[in-house]
Amino acid sequence: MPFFQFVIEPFSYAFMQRGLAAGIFVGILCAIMGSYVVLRGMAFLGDALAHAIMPGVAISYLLGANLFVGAIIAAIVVALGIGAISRNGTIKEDTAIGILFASALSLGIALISTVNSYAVDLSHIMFGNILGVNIFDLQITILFSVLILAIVALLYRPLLVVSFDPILAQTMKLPVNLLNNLLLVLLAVSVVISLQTVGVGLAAAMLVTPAGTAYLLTRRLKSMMLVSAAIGAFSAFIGLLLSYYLNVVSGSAIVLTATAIFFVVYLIKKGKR
Amino acid sequence: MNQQPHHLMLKNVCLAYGTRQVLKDITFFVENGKSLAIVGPNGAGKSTLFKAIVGLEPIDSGQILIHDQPIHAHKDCVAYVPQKEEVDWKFPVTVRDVIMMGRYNSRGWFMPPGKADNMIVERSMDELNISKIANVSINELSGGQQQRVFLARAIAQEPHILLMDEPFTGIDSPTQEATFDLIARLQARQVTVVISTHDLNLASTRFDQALLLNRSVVSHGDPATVFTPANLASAFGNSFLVMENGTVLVDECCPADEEHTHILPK
Repeated sequence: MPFFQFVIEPFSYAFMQRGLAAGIFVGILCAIMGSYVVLRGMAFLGDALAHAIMPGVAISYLLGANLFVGAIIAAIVVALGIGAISRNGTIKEDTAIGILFASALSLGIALISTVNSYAVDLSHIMFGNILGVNIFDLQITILFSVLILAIVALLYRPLLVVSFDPILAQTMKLPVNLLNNLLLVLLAVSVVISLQTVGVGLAAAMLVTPAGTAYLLTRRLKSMMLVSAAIGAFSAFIGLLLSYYLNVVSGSAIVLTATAIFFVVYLIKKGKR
Repeated sequence: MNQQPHHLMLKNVCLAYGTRQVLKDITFFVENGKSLAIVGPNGAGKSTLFKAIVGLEPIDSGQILIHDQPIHAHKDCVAYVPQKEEVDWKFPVTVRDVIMMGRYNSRGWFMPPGKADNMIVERSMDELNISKIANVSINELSGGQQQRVFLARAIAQEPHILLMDEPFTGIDSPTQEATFDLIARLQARQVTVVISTHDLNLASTRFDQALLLNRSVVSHGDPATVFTPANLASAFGNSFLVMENGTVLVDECCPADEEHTHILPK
């Protein structure tokens, strides 16, 4: 089979086209939000956010409501909760995150396990079901990705200063807490968006891996974000191809592709030194 | 920026961390275009005082006025250069990016930098002799270069008042001289410069005014009238010594890990 056909053929199916579109948008969105996650040392928080939306998903599942709405509410509550606990300072941030994240995950699974068919549903929530993306899901994904990226582009300078030099941000009278909370909320929504594509278990990888790779390759935030986005989108494309031909779960294939790119870059960088 | 005098006035400023009183009844006045060195032992409240002046630490009582207006009325007339450890040096920004941050407030946060901003950034880099490293990543800089970058950013802010916390600690002598050149140029533009230091020699010879601080103001004025044995004894307590020839030695005025004494010329 010629190479061109090898690449194109899988995408002759409508569900593969929708999956690819969703994967690319999610890949770009997570990669750009992930730049902040990597630079601000929030990797653990990203992971926690992803797991902490489980109860929201479970409750809306049990009520027969839209999963997306439940997930968004849970994610925002948890994001702001973590922000408040870490500012308060009575307990270390990572301990607070650890407690919150494990208990939310347990609560979510407990709720879902009350339903008979829970095994299938749980695996979809944990690992995503990119090939089950319908037109409505895709519209939601595109709408929110564009919205979040527009906000990040508009607030590029304030977010840069708040992330790099909080003291300067304060002396310049920027609303530091508001910006930090906004970033947490945008991050939470990004994680929810990626739920359908790579699932709760793997969303954190899409936040951290492409951005971590880009960090090795660039020395300015803007270029880090662009390279990260390219890696995120490329991983989605290659991952989907691999999942089609090797018959593996697409979320895992996408994450493993991103990881492979990271290690290639890491080894080349290390070899140069 | 020179349309009005940019004097700095503190009136009865008090600040406590919990029950610990850090600043007690601080009152002083600095005219525009003057330079002031603040000297005091460890824990005298020098850094806290600076943070209060830029609005990083809320004060409990008293007033801080910059051209007769309270600090929160100002957005960008005070530039603050903290001790250098306080940013993430592995962040992916270049020297030029860092200095451009000094322009964001006057440009507007949503606008890309314009021609005038670029010119001010170039000029700031020229003034500190770092134009050659404009596109270098900040994690590749030496300690002296790091300080120059932050000084360049502070002057790119075009402040009326420049505050520098311990600018002479742990830097090479060319950077120290570059800092003094800069202070002189800023004073010529009527900018008020306030620094903290534990170097009595520099404080007494190279600044218009000195202020001895130990939670409260021990003495403020001309360095010659401030650094008297009686005032130093009052500020530094036991850790100070007058030699037979009149030289004053002060200990314990530096970070605890640095062991040395300071000699004050007669």
